[in-house]
Order: sequence, then C-alpha cells, then structure tokens
Amino acid sequence: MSLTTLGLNLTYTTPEMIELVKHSWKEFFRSSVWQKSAFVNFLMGLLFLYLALNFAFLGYVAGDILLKIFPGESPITNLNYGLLYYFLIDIFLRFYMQPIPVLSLVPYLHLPVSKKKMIHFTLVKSLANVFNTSIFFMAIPFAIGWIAKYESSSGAWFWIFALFAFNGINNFLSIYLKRVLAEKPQIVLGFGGLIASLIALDYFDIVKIGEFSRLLFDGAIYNAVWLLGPLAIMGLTYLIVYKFYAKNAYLENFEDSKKKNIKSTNISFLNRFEQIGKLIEVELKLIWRNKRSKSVAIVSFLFVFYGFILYPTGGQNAFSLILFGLIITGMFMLNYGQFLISWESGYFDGLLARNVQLSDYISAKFYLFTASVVAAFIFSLIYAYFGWKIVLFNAAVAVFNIGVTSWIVLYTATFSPKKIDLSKSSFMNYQGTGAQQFILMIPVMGLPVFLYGLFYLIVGETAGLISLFVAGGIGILLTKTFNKLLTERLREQRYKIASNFRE
Amino acid sequence: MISINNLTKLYGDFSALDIESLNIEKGESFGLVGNNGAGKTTMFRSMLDLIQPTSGTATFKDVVTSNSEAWKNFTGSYLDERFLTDFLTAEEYFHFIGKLHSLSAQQVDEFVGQFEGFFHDEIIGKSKYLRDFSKGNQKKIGIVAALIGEPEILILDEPFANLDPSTQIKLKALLKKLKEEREVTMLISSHDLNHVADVCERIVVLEHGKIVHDIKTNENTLKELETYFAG
Repeated sequence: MSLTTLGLNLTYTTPEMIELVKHSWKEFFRSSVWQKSAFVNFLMGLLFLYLALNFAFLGYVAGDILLKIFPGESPITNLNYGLLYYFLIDIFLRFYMQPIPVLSLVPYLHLPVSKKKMIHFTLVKSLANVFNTSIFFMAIPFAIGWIAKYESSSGAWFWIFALFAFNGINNFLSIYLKRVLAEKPQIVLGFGGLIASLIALDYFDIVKIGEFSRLLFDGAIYNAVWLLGPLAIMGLTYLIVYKFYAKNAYLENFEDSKKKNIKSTNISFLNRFEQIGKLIEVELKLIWRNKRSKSVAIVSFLFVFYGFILYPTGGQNAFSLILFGLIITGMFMLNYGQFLISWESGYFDGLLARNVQLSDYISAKFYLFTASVVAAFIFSLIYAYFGWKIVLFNAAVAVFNIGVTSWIVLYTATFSPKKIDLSKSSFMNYQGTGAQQFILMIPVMGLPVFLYGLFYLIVGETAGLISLFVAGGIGILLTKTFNKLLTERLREQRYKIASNFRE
Repeated sequence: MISINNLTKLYGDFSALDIESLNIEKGESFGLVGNNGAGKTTMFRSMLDLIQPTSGTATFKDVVTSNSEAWKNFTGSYLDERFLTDFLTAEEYFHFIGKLHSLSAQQVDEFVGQFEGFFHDEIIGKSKYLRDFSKGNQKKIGIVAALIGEPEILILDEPFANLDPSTQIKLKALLKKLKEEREVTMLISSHDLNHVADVCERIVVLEHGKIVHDIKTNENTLKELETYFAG
C-alpha cells in the first residue's frame, strides 16, 4: 500500500485540513466547559497547573526516590524495569476511561471532504489527549535530570521517543479494542487479571517481563536501533485502526450500536410511597441508565472500600476519623449530589409543567441520600475490625450527614445548576462544574470537624461525638421545616434553573 | 377557563410577548399561528410557568399559574422533548406520569391501550429508551402522556410537526373527539394553517409577540390566513 492510497499525499494537504484544525480549535475553546465565570476558570487553571507541577516534580525526584529504595543501582535502569508494567496498566485504564475521539466525524460525513483525510486527522488528533500528554510532564524532567546528565543527551531523546512510541501503541490499540469489543466488563476484568498474573509471574521469578522492559528501554538510550521495534508496532496499530475506521466510517456505525433489549421495570417496593416513591424510582433509573451518573455512582461505591487503606495507614486521631467517615458514608451524597438537579437538566421543563409537587421532589432526593448513607454505614461496620472507635465515629458522621450535610447539598444544588450531558463519561468531565461545587466542599468538610473540635476543646472527646449526633438528630427532626424552606427556595429559583438548562 | 392578563416578556429591549388580554372559554379549541419568532412558544412557556413573565399573569380556572402548582392537576401539556424523561421506556414513562396523577400502572395501561391505532405499533412493547425513538414517535409519546390524568386543559406546541401523514390525520380526529366528548379546552400552535383551520374554532395570529388577528373559524378562514402570511 502506498502512502497516496492512504490519503497521506502531503502535497495535497490543504485547505480542508486547515479547516478541520480550525474546527477542533474552536470546538475546544467554545466547549461549554469554558462558559463559566472567570473565577471558576481561574480556579480550574490553578488546579491543572498544580497537577502539572506535581507531575513534573515527581519526575524530577523519581531518580532520588529510586536511589533510596535500591541504593547503589542505577535509577534509570530500575525505572526502565517498571515501564512495560506502566504501559500495561495504562492500557487497562484507557480501556474504560479514554474517550473515543472519532465521534466528531459525524457532522462531516456528508460533506465533500475526503474520508481518508478526516480519519487520519481524527486519529492524529487523538494523540493530543490528557492520557498521552501527562506522562511527558514526568518523563521530560527525568530525562533531563538523569538520562541527559548521566548518560547522553541523545540517549534522553531516544528514551523520550521510546515512551512516545509506546504511548502511541496504547492510544491506538485502546481505541481499536474499545470500538471492536465495546466496553464489556468481562473483558476489562480479564485484562486486569492478565496484568495481575504477569506481575505475579515476575514476582515469583518465573517470567521476567521487567527484564525485557529494562532491555528495551535501556537499549533505546544507547542505540536508536531499539526504537525501530516500538515505532514499527505503533505504525502497525495505527494502520489497523485506520483500516477499521475506513471500513466503518458510516453514520450507523457511530450511533450507539450497543442497543440492548431493554426491559421495562418497576421497582414495586417503592410503589407504596406513591409519588415520592415513583420519583425515587425514576432517579435510580437515571443513575443506572446514563453513562455519567452511572460512573459517578460506581466510583462512590468503590469509596466505601477505601477504609481498608485509610484505617490501617491513616492514623486514628479523631479528625481523620471524621474525614474518613465523611468519605465512606457520604461519598455518594457528595459526588452525585454536587450535580443534583443538573442530572435532570434534560427534562426539567417536563418536571415543572407536570403534576410534580416540589416538596415531593425534594423529599425524594432526601430519602435517596438517606438510603445511600445508611447503606454505606451498614457496610462500614466491617471496619470495626480496625477498632470499635471507628464504628462510633462513622455512626456520628452518618447521622450528621443525613441531618445536616444532606440539606446543605440540597440547598447548594439550587444555586444556578448547569446543564450536563448524561451520555458522556464522568472522567475528566467538567461540564456542569461551577463555583458551587467548590463552595460546597467548605461547609461539608469543615462543619463536622469544626463542631467536633469546638466541643472537644470545651468539654472533651465524648461531647464532641455527641455534638455530631445531636446536630444530625435536630436536622432529621426538622425535616419538614427544611423541606418547606427548600421548596420555597426552589420555587424562587425555578425560572433561572429552567432557563440555564434550555441553553 | 383560561384568561391572560397583560402578559409580557422582555429580553432586554426586545419584546418577545405582549398580550393585553385574552380569554378562552371552556371547551374552546384555540389555535395559535405565527412565523418563527412570533412568540408562540414564549406564550405557552409563560402560561405554563416555565419562564418568568416580565409582567402579567395567566389564570387557569381561577389559579394563577405562577402563584400555585394546583393547575398542574388538570393541565396536560407537551411543548418539546424537554418534557420527556429520555432514559425511560415508553411504558415506564406513561406509568411515571400516571403515578403523578395517582393512577395505578394497570389504569395507565388501559388508558394508553386506546391509542394503539395512534401509535401504529411503534411505541408499546418496544425495548428502547425514549431517547432512541425517532422525533415523530417521541412526539406521539409526549402527546399521549399529556392526555394522562384526563386534563381539562391541553396545551400542545406544534403537535403536527414531525408526524407522518396518517398520524397527522389520526391526531386531528383524536383532538376533535376530545373536544366533543370531554369538552377539553385546547391550545394548539402550528405552522400548518390547514390543520389549525380544520381543528380549531378560533385562531389567533401572533406577530412580534402581539395578537394581530383573532378569528372565529369559518369556511374563509384558511384563505384569509394564507393571504395574511403571503403578504
């Protein structure tokens, strides 16, 4: 196959290519992510800068850390030992977190733009992705600080190229696998098992993937010939993906092909609660049937297990116990609740015009929160294994979460919620993020710690705990009052919220 | 049944809606026509309390729609797909709406069963979510959902758009039947002058948010409207 048949004839590149580049540029800067107040954009910018600096710092000190762990051995060689594992785990993560970039093809399919070119364009563009760039924030400082310094600067370049090649392989391979296999959980799990068993084989000195990894990346530093293999494989994966897309670049293939046979269901247990029960049922279906809300729910569920790491390692002083309790019992409420109402942006007009009582609407959400906190608390009883004190603190925080935090979350939700698209993955997705998500965290994290601290200082530890129980208890007793206040608040805000969602 | 009092909506300096007074009797079928941007949807939205009017009120049966939620009991409406809970199946959606009117699933199934012909076998028992239905089928679902709970007032925005010819005819028959049998007060907007002239006894023409014509339908109405819009 010549380059021309692939559409790679460079002399023929061209106004339409330039148009496509312009469109991607506009797509990025006109994305709804940026349509927020300058203050929020500034905060997000700071956050990204902070993360990037963290990566860079980590890359810079990685050599020193490795020297400390393996004194007397070359940190470069030791890092190279782990790189293949890194890429294996990377492809595993990409498999269900990396977005497939190619959907943006659809609006061009009917236009006189060569399909081949567009596919090349989208595939090359897919490299400009946070998955592909973040590693270089770490790798470049390491290459400068260690490889260029102790080996050679050309070696540093080759090493970076080797990383680039593996990155590219992972990028294209994961796009291909994702398209072909769709996101079947069995396959993801199987892949995870494969990685785990490779690590185990290495650990028990049976098959040493690490040695191979070392050979490969060390080799790349000394001799560019070692780059040929990875680059060739990257070219091959690119070709495979390209061919696949060239064959499948029709509208129907970009539409959601995974339409399963859906059964209408009815959660009969909730029927006895009349309207409120139905609203809860609809919200549960919302969570489970939409990509973004589903991943938020799954991640929140995983946080319940976080205690197995937190309690043995995080110390057991009162303040960390309160924070751990918040994370374990309240994660769903916080994670899902920060976008409350926004989840329903697609049909909020319908909710307003139909016979939904706003007080029922609020009650449904309150009960959902309560159920999630209670369920998480029951699970957290298992942490009694690490000490009975944990159960006591979790109980206090759970009651506080139900009685106080839930109302704060509900109240914050009425501050100008933004429209969100439920069908997008929640990973690195900042659609719908506004100032209130940042502001929400202050009382949610601060209030229980402050309350406990206050009574702890004045009276003592028991009083601190009791204060959390009492505050939560009062909040629960005042459910009707809070509900009424929120109903009024929601009625005041209804036009503003509805018009936000119509944009 | 419905009265509008000095209802206006300003976007900055732009007046999207400006209706001094309008009364609609019980059982009246009321058609709303006008070019794009004339204010039809704005009028329906402000009547249904979905946008805040700059001034004025809409009153349904003595209930001012912006003051209380009581009108939602006896008002069925479908403006656009923002009324649809798109991750439910059609049956689940009907049951949900039914529940809001305290109807059991069985009662809803019986009610929806009457519309078999209207649905043309494309809605019930289809294992898909509302978001995966075509525009036309979504509209059918929205219209039938608006009828659940035996509303006394029915408000439909562009009900004929996106529907296939047979369904348009069936919908006209359905609306006429509702009027005759149950004296439903209907407000319908449309770009199709033919259909409105056929279904509605009274037609109001909006332009720049104002009522410019208020006609009792007769055999000359269609011609009159065509002359108006041609100019």
